[in-house]
Amino acid sequence: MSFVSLAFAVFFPVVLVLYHLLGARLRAQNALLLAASYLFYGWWDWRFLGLLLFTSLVDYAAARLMAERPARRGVALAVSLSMNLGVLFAFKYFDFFADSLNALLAQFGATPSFTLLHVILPVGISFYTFQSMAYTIDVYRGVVAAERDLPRFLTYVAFFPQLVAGPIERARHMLPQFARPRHVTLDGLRRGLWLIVWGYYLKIVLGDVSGAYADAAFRVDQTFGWSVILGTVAFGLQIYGDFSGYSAIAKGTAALLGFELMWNFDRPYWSLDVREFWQRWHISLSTWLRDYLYIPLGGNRRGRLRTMLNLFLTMVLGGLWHGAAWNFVLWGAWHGALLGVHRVYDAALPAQRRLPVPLAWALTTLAVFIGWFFFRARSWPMITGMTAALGNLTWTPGHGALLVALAVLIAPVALVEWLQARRGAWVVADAPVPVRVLWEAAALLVMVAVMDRVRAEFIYFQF
Amino acid sequence: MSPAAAPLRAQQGPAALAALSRAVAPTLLALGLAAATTWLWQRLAPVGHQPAEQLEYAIVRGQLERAERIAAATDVVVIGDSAGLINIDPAGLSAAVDGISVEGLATLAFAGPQGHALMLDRFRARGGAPRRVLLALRALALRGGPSEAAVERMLQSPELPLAAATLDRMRDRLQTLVAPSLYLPLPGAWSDYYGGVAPLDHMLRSRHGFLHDPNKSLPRRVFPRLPPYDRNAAFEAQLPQLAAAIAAIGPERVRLLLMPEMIAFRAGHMEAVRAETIALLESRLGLDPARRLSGLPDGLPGDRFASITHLNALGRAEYNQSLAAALRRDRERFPW
Repeated sequence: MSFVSLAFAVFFPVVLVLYHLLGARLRAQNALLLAASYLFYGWWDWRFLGLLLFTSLVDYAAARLMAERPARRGVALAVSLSMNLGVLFAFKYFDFFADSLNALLAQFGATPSFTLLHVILPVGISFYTFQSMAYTIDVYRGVVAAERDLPRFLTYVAFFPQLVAGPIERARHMLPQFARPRHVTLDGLRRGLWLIVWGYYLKIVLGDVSGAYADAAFRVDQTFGWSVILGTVAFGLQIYGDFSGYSAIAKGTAALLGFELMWNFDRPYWSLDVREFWQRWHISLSTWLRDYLYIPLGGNRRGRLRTMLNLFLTMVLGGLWHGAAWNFVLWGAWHGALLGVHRVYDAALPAQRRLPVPLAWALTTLAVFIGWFFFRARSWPMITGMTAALGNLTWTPGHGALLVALAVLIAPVALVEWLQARRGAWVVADAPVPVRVLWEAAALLVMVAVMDRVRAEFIYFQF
Repeated sequence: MSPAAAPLRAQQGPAALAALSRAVAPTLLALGLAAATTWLWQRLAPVGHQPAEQLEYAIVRGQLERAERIAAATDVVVIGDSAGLINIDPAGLSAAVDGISVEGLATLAFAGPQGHALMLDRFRARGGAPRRVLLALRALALRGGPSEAAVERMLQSPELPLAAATLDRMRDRLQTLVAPSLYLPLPGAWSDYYGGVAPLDHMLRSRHGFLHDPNKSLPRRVFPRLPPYDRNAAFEAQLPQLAAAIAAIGPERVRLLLMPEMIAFRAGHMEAVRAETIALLESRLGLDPARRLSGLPDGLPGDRFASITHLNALGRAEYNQSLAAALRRDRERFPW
């Protein structure tokens, strides 16, 4: 079930009312959330409910084993990691590696021998396996206690607001919320509702409208350099609107249920360096990669060269997490290299000799958007074709129109984010009622006006 | 970003639902305000419903409006399908033929002969008496299938009809709010060059009723493929309407321009198809073969084409040079 669907418009209010009617009956509330979450996930394809249940049960059992037989902790963790990574490999990566190996063998004249599985990628598999896997690692490390209550654990893994596209929550933050009575406040509800409206605005207006421009620009036969440049900007806006919109709706819906999800985005396009960008973009993934990959690889504890290698490897694997394709590897490598360069720059120059803010912002944004080009250009012919098009910087009326459209899309979002930077995240939510009503009415009008371009799916569902 | 402290008392159960209804009130009020404003707006200033095929209808609508606005004393008027819309360069012709005025009323193949006739009739009805009418058609004109529904719609008022349901009318009204800036991109390179329908419409008017195909050239793999040729009975069935429009304006003023095709195609049946098409159109439209424009190329190399029927910038320049020379010769033989 997508947040942008009639089914969800019926589903969520029903769940919300039933949930609150259950009052203080915690177990019943959790049971309702579990049933609702499985219905939410099964709406796409009920067959994959088994996989979700299987993943959850194995991780639950592994953690219980760690708690009850500390001597077998290593084995239990190995089982959990093998299962999670195995599931991910089978469903997401097998065809990619098999296909790449076949292509490599063919280059050397050998007969390709790996049969492709052509399995359907279960929605959100990367999100819930990472969340579930992080739990067993945390239990192994002693950061959280193994959960005894199976329904509670199943609900934690399958919690519908964040099940298919995050944020990838940590057990130490979320599990206690399933164990204690949830209370809501008027402020919390108001803020949750604002997040939902804002999330839909980001998704429908910023994400889906700019997505149409990106789709028009990203073509193998592209010949206009400005279309490549503006199309890449459009894609940067699309992915931000789409994903941060989803995260806002997720956080908002969870807030109405009395849960607090982490912030997944914190105005990333205001970043002044690439490191800051990764502290503001898809925060739940970047912190996951830091805690469960970068630091175990050695982090920055083994010298500068090793640190840079660790950064690079982490980002390449982070790229691969996004999708089983070489362009995601390239995107990850690009960011790995950028983070390495930034680390050298950071160490070499004292603070007072850093770049002026506008220049730092411009360079960071340029670097990030070059990355988005690799992310969106899904094939090598598209990458080379569109790169070659940069040689033709003919300006057409279409480019003027696109520039205006992008400015119109950016302006309201930039204004809200600027206000948030000055007056806090809830500046609109906590505004006087007339201001908020006018603001929401305007947002709703624009959403309806562009409704014919809405895509039910979110980009990150495929990851 | 950390949330500011929430000062109000925490609630559970029915009290939470009561708090929820209080919290949701401003959003419902916003929804009501938005709906009421839109409803009132569409009542006071209703707008027509855009059909799905926006690009096609924008071109037809634009040309219908131009047919009633362009100068009656225009020297050369071009009617026909997209070959006439795309392949002719009015500024180049004007510069090459003593500053003559050239206006385009060509639309698309789906308009068919009946649609081309309608343009000519509209122009004539307001006193238009051009020195020359160029009927510009793609080489495979007889293959085209005019859309009955499209022609019917063209025959109606160019104004768009109102949507039947109030909610649709409200949506249509709102779409005009964002359409000028948040345009829907046209397909492929058309989006790169024109953006959306509104900028394309603006250019159609500012460029005297002509557009150009922004595609550079056809992919090489397309060249050797000869399009299948089946004559379309619907096209021929509409020729009498066009013949009547031509008769009204004076067949001696009308010249048939059958656009060049790729040289690669000429090895197949294209040469015979071309001869057959010209003969059939001249006889059915009452055009005198002796007045045919001479010296125009029947074929051009594949790299002069943006699509199977549209010339790219290079092909357009080359073809219009020949066309200017042909018009000059025509003027010498049959003085205007």
